[in-house]
Amino acid sequence: MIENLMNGFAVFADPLVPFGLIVGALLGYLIGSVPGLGPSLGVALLIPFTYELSPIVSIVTLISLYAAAEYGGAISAILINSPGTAAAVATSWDGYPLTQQGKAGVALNISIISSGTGIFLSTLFLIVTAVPLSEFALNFGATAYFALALVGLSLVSCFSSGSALKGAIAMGIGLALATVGLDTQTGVPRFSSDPHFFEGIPLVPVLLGLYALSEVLFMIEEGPSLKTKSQPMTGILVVPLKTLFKLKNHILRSSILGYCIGVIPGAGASIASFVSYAIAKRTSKTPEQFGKGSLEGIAASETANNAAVSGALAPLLALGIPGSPTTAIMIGALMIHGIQAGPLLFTTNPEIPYTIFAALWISVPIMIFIGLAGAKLWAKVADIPRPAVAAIVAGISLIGAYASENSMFPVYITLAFGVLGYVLRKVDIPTAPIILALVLGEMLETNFRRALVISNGEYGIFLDSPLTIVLLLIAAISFGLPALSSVRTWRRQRSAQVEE
Amino acid sequence: MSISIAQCDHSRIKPQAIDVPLAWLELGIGGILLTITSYYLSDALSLPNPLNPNAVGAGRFPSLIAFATLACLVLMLCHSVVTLVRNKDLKRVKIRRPASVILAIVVLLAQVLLMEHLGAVACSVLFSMLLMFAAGERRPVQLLGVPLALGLSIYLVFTVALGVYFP
Repeated sequence: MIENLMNGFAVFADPLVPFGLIVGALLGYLIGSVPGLGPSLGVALLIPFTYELSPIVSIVTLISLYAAAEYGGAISAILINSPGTAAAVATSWDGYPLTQQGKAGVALNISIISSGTGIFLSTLFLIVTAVPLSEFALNFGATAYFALALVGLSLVSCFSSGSALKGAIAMGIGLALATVGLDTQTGVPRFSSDPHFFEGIPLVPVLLGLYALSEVLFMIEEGPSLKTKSQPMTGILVVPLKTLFKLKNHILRSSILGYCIGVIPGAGASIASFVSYAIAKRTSKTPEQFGKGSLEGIAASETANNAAVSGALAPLLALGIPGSPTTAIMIGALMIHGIQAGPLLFTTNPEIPYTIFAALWISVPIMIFIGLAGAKLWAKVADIPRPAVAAIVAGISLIGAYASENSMFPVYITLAFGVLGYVLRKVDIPTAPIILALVLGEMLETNFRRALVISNGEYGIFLDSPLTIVLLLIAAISFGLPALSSVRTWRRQRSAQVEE
Repeated sequence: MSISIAQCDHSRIKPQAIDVPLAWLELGIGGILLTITSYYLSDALSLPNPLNPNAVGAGRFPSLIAFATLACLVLMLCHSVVTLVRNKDLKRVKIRRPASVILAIVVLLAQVLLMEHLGAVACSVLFSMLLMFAAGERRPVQLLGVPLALGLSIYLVFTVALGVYFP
């Protein structure tokens, strides 16, 4: 492992790799700072630029953007009370009050250093857990893989914004889309006789449509943004060592918590930051300060949401199961370069996971430097007029879709999914399960059919292995629990009405 | 179904907004999805059976997905109907600037359809300008500057640096 890790660091001797890391960090800050744009959209938009790059440079740039966009989300949350990402909402609760008190620099400083520490510690957890997990996953059979993919999908649907029912509908849409094209086992064309669809619905244009173009329509709906008031940045470059030392327990606990929550498919950075914030408040000696400008609150939220980045990478690298929309997009990026994420990745392409580990560590000082030195600039980024952002995102999406196959077909797909994404989001049907189901659909179907062929069509094979049973139970619970709680809420409301 | 149009009473008409109960939207979109899923199911059921009787045919897995999705859609539609019948605490969806959203979709569609004829970079410049206009931008410097900068960046990054050739 140590040797592989050293090889991961050695990759950075190629000047293109650190260059990609810096470019990714800059773009990540840029995208994270703009309210409404998040890491998923950023990674989706960057993919077209990586077609011609080597897999290593591509993945380092994407990882760096992912991490920096999570950092960047805090900047607009602290300065203008408009979180750049959902994961930075909890940061705004204490960050903005500090800005109002004239301490924006201190708040940004603590948030950036906590974010960096969160990434650093969680990467350590990632290295320690991902490798054994991938070795364990090598023993998985068809039924276990089927159940694992089902767990991933069920958790994502369960944790999706809106109701679990709508999450399940989104999952159904994604799985249905994944079945379009030539059947890999019989060669029969399914659901379309158009040769463009024979290789299935291409992932990148779907990503660009659902994440980027649909967001453009939301920006158009919002109209021009108002100019924000610039804030003084006093204290931004003074590292408050004493304060950081006082926050050490919060930072350590939030790193562990953020990583563990990030590992759960669908839970992600926003849940990690909320849970961590709540626990920090409960364990704090000054809980009354929370919501009024508590540095503990900022440290807890920012450490956890950045630790969740490494957490989300664990199931991706070890099992081939994306834990978040961003990692699902990352799987798409790996596929473009012919790399299959999963347990075999550590034996077939060990340079990929170990370079990711190295990139996460190397990114920490770079991102802290870029974040602190460029704080004034990032604050101004939030002021870029919304119509300009919409035009840039739309332009890159359509051009990027064309570049993915050098044909117009992906461009049509992008536009269609852009409108579909807008409509679905209006009805509160989340788009994340669609992407995850589209990515996992083939794995789910292949293993389902393989298992049934082995068992001569007997469904009992899915109950033969204890591991499969446990995984199927988890899937059933995560599908069933939200439904049960909905029924309970409905009954409570009904009995309250009867009493009235 | 009540759609209220919020309008300003001043001489200059302000952007309108469509305000509609979520349950109505769910019924509409759910109905469309139900139709598409039913069509998908009938297509899945008509896929050929495998030659090996123990193997799983190309249509089995899609059929299972279709049944599960249909069940979820029916549940959602029932929930929407119940919500509408009770007519209490209706969650509403606001579509601000609907004319701008439709204009933006038309602009994007035109960009996609004309990309091969006008050229990808020229199309990006022209339609970015129109898109910014649809988004409410009226300052001439921004309307000209951003699309030109975008077109130049696309040309430099994709064509010069990455070697991608556009129509």
